Amino acid sequence: MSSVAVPPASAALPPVSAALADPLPVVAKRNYISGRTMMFMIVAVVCSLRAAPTMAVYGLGSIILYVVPAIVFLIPQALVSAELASAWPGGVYRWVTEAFGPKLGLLAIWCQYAMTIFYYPAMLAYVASTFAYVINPNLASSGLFTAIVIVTVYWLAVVVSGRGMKAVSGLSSAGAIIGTILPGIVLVGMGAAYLIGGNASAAPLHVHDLLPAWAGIASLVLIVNNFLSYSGMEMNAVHVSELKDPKREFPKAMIASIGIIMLVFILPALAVSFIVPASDVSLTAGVMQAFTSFFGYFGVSFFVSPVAILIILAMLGGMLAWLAGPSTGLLLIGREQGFIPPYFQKLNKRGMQMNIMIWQGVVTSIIACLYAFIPAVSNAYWIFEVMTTQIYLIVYVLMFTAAVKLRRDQPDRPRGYITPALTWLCGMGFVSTIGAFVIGFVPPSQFHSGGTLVYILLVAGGVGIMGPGVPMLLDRYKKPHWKTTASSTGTDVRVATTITTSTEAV
Amino acid sequence: MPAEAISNIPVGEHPIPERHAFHHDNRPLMMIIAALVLSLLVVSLIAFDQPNNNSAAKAKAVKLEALMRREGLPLPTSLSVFSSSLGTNGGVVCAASGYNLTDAILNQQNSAASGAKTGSVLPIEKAVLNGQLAIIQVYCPAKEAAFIKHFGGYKLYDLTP
Repeated sequence: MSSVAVPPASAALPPVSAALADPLPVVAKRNYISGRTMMFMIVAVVCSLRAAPTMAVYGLGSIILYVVPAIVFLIPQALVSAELASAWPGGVYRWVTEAFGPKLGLLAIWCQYAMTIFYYPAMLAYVASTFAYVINPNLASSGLFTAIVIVTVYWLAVVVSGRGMKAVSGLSSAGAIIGTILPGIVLVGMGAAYLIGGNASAAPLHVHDLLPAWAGIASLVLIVNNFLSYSGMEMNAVHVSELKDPKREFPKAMIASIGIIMLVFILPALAVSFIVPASDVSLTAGVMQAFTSFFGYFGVSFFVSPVAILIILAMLGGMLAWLAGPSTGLLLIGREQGFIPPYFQKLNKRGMQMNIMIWQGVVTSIIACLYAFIPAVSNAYWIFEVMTTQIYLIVYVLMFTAAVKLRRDQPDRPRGYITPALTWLCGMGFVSTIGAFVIGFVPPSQFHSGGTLVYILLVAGGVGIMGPGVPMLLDRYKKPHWKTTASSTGTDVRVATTITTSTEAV
Repeated sequence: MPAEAISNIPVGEHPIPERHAFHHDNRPLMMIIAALVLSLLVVSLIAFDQPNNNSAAKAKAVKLEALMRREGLPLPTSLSVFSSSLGTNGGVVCAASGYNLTDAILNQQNSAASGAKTGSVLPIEKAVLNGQLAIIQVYCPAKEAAFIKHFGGYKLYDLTP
């Protein structure tokens, strides 16, 4: 069914000459996202060059530190998402709803959404500090500057998101190309030129250096952190219906992005390690310091500031994708199951869930101000990130189990892509996720406020409240008349006809 | 939504049909953003204070190298790596040390630096922390006490090759 623009009844009839000049009705042109754009959106969501200096510290060992997590987490996550997205549109909420019902579907999408609540202020604070180092390092310690950057950039992102998915996808994929891939190529090219020129590497390059030193739990934490680096591959599946041929294009985009992501993580880290030793990688100004050293060696220190700006742009591109992704999932399940009030289901004229994003903006602005102006909040902020990581891992537990169940329960469902050895891959992904969840309860060096038990209780309490707690409340207080679209899963399809036309400009 | 397939979803059956209603022209938005990005790049090129790589910077780099060598820390293959990034005042390392908010951002970096969207807290590398301490001792010794006070209780790991 194609959509035809029908002039309103009150419109005056066009003159005959105009009608002859344009005899065909105007057919609405759909805003498809191309498969290539989707691939770069996935890259934008998952990777950034900001990791390069940190991982450069491990030299050749960084290869193993990225490859092992890729095998046990990235590949299962990507291939399983590819299969599920090629069979059911709507992303993780839809897959989990199909397998386990709408309550767990809501839990899945809420957990994905909850992760972003504390992610935006921290990520934008990082953007603010990096920008400060470029223009005036003294601003990096200014709470006012940090708050202004967080609030301004976030609301600009909301405005851009309001322009529709075409704008979001275009900007996030452009961010990945100019802010991650191009500077990455420059770094790798310069690193290669350095070695080819016969210079000695700052990091040892012996075969045995491929294996990082083993330090028990710290090594596990490092590996787990790296497979969390790969999280988010499944997020863009919520936009699968924006593709012209999702059954073919999404799996292709997903598989191609695996290769790009691994190259972007590994090669720039190696390039930096050739020139910048671990002792010259600053804890407090990692990216800026390492890149200043790197480019300084080549006598092109002026590259530092544009590269920093480009890295910031890539991060903002990724943020745009995050802003549009989980909130779309929340909107869809809210419309189908009536979990959220109609006010939050309203769309602007471009089909974007502005009210959800605006209220998230209010929350983000409050958190940002607390973060920037109250030292106790900023110093303890990392623990909220740990909690939301734990919450996010619930998404993967649900996704891997849903994939196995759906393959068993609905084997005849047409799938654009069939993941080989799905049960094994899901098992590996499931075990990795549980392992990461357990590691998340190990108190880090930053925790000075009590023993291990206090830390475990604190994190578990936060996970319980912000994770399953909120969906339980939404489920308890949902209203049947909040449903505005038919359930795609075929369960409980009472639809309130009174608010089916909830589209309005915000 | 029909159960059969999701390929070529018709407009009216898209989960959010409003998104496909009309073709949107985003060119003005893209042009504004492109202009903003170009302006930022120009401002950053003008404002960025490149460290002075002069003879004083080289003398400090020699001092730093000697200190790092004594401490058994990894060294660059060329002193210009130090002199070009730290200049005479320690560059961003000294600018970033010792403030509450930057400490908090450091915590985010520790938890998210490897690219993770969220935080599993990274172990802090002995070589990295001691390297930063050495830089502070040479370039901005006034900040040494605050740095030690902040990081004194941190457990350090040695996973570097």
